[in-house]
Amino acid sequence: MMFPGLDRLQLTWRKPYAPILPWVAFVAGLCVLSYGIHALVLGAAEQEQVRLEADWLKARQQLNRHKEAKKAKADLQRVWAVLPLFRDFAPLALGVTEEAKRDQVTLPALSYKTEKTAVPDATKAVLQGTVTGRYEDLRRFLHNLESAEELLFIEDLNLIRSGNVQDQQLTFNIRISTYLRGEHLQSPTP
Amino acid sequence: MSLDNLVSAIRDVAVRVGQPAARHGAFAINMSSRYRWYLAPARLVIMLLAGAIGLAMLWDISQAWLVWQDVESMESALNQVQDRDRDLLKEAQQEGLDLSEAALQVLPKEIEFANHLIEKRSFSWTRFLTELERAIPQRIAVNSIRLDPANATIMLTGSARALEDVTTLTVTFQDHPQFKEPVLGQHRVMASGLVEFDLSLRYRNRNP
Repeated sequence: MMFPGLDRLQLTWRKPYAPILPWVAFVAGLCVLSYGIHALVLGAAEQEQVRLEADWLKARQQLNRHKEAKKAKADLQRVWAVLPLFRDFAPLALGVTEEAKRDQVTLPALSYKTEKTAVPDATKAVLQGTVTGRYEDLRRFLHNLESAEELLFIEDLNLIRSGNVQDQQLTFNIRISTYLRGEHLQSPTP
Repeated sequence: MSLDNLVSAIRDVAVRVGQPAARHGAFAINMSSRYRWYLAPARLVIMLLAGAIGLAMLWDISQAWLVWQDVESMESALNQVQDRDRDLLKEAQQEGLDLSEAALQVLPKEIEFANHLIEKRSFSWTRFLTELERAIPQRIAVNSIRLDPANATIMLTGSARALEDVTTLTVTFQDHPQFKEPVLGQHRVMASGLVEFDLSLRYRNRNP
């Protein structure tokens, strides 16, 4: 016996259906080849297509996210620009007192308080006091505060008539707030 | 019997299909091997199967070619998008904008904060007082005003010469475009004859 199984092969070759065995082998080979093409060539191509599609979608989303973030950041810069810096808080309080003087309103005392906000580098500053003056002057004072270059908010205003009717003096309890930005909140580059 | 007839008919057809000479009516006999009637149709079936598999292979190859074409175009599109993203990031960096992942995480909070500031800025005490001045009749004096800008509710205390004036004031606020829902809290006739009252109402903040 030269090869193991050769006898078996010779025996098979003598079978009546032996003439079609090469054809069967050929078809079996074709089947294997077809499966190989389907799984390895087409399958690999489809896998690559799916991967690229997912990557492309992810890249598009990332690009859109960056585009929107850039626009939002640019808009935010404009908002941060009107917020006074933390180090400017003391001059700002002084500025409010100066404004009161200019508008002929008495602002004898101001109390200051700072509070943290949701944004790490922004702090809320509250100035509270009592202002007295004529209604027209008080209104001008309020208007000047509201239209100030720095973002000032009048959070609370409690109007109390004081003195007699002749001198027309009114007293307000006023609560002014602003938001101070730290150095890390970016302002627009010139 | 009928089964034998059927087998015989199949054999005839197979012989006609398998033997070209028999198809043309010519006499053909092969003395070299034993005749097996099923070999020819089996061979035919196998050939058809091979043809079908061949067609399937061609189909797969053509599909694979089309998919690879698509893959190539998608790869180029992906590169384009990635290039654009890189350019955008570079541009942002030049403009001093931080688009790092850490900065993007904080961004929603910053936007919310900025929107809150803008919303707060939209309320103007000067405008509010102007509208209040227009709405309050001559015979009413306002003693105190408290406004809660968060829900735009005003608490107003004042004095009037007569109770009718308070009613007039309430009606005026009801019909006013900027004020709504006036609710009289209480009134009190003083020794001087003046009527003191508490009134709450809502303010429709309207940007100019």
